[in-house]
Amino acid sequence: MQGNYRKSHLNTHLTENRIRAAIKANDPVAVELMWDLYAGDLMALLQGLLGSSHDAEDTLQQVFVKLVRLRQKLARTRKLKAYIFRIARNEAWDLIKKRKRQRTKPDIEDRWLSANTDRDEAMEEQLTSALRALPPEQRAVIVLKIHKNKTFKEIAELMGLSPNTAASRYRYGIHRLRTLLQELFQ
Amino acid sequence: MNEPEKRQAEMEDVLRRFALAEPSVGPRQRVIKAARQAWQEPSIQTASSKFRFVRALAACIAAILAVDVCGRLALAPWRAQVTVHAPSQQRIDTEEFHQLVPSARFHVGRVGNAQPEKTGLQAYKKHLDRLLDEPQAGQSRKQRLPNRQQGHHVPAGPASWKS
Repeated sequence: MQGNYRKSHLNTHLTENRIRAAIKANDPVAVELMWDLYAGDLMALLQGLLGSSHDAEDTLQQVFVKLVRLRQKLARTRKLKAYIFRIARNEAWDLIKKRKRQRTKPDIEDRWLSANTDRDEAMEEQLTSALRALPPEQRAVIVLKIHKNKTFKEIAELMGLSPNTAASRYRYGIHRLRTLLQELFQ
Repeated sequence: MNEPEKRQAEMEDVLRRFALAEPSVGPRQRVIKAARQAWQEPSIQTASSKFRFVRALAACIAAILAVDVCGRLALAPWRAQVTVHAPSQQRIDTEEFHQLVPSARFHVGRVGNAQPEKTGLQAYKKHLDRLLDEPQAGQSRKQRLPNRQQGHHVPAGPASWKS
């Protein structure tokens, strides 16, 4: 287990160095390397924060365009992952604030969770709307923990929090979700 | 497992029955295409960390100099009120001055026209002595003391000062 973690950590480190080298050489292959390394986690974080896969995809595009525009800084930064996820969080928060100002809501038809069995399809809508009723930070922690199997330490790193804060947000979020979906458990 | 943990586990089981939409091939191509287009534009140049450090250092020095100049020009009342020159040419504040001269009951003011070579407690003592000893007709000793409102409140100093 620990061996696997070390191996993946080493791979991440090597890929980050390749990204830096590609940026320094002005090689656009850096974009694909960044996609392969971070897109999955970025998408999950954005889906969690925004509660919508359409918004998450659009924001992901903006994040990548911004990363390319700031590539010189990106090549110099020591904590590449932290920098990229910070940009993603900032972009997501900008959209959340914009939506609040304009009082627009994410598309109801946007299915960002898919049921593994037919039996659960009826529940999907209820669960999606309950998740949308949660604060973005709690929803993001739940999504990363449940659907990406991240530890609180990893979630904390992605969200720029302390592991204890991530754990408490998860607990509060699950509790609130359970309250919102009370009829499912009766 | 206690009741809250059980309820949490139930909710987690429900959530695990659903999968999260992964970024599909379509968005990948779209995002990479947009990012590659952005690559053709020049990168935004931001200040390097070394330059930022030098800039911050310069700002600190400028701020210190500004405060010092304000103090010298008596534009900064807090400074004019609390600093006197110690014998070692180091600036000391009111509290330190009180520690040096515990019997003093004064409000430390600026040392009037003390010359740089005469700075320190000796200069302050001379300044006080001069104020107290200058004979002026019709004025009592107390009346000769400068007014607190004018920035100088001269105390009755320790006995040892009265040489």
